Amino acid sequence: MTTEPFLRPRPVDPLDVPARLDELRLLKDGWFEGHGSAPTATGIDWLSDRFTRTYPEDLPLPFVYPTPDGGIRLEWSLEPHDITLDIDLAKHTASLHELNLASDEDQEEKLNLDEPAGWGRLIEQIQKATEGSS
Amino acid sequence: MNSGTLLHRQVNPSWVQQGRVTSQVFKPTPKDNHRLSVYDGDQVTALQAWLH
Repeated sequence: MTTEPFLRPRPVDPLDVPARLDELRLLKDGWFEGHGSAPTATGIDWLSDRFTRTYPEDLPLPFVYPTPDGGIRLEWSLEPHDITLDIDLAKHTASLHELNLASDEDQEEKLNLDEPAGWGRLIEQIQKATEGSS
Repeated sequence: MNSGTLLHRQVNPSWVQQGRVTSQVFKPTPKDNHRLSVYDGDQVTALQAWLH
């Protein structure tokens, strides 16, 4: 008698970014107390695809939140580093902000997420913060 | 109110993921007149603030 291999469903990481972005597709304009634009479906498609293809699997995943202007904010808490990436889904640009809670120093820079260098800069920053927080 | 007073603030459900709140909650918007509105925990409980 032969048995078929039992395929177990792969658990989704609680911070799985595409899954969280799918949740945010349900937002409607006015979601923020009557104000606030909903992120566009094309914008979410773009971000979900780029993040999946570009962000290394071995790096910590961010928390994902909508912004009232129709953008998406990614947040990493990597003590003492607090890193946020505010993404403009229409322009494919982002503002990367890093705050060191221990020293109170912070820095901000603009990224073009249509360019590999933009994602590279983000990944470099997360890698550095991960090494520093371990 | 003193340095130990809890300050309560309502949060949009979309701004909570896995029990963690976005830091945007602590950034006042033009709608807030750029001032953070909170409930005084000495006068209002967390439940009362949530129900308000």
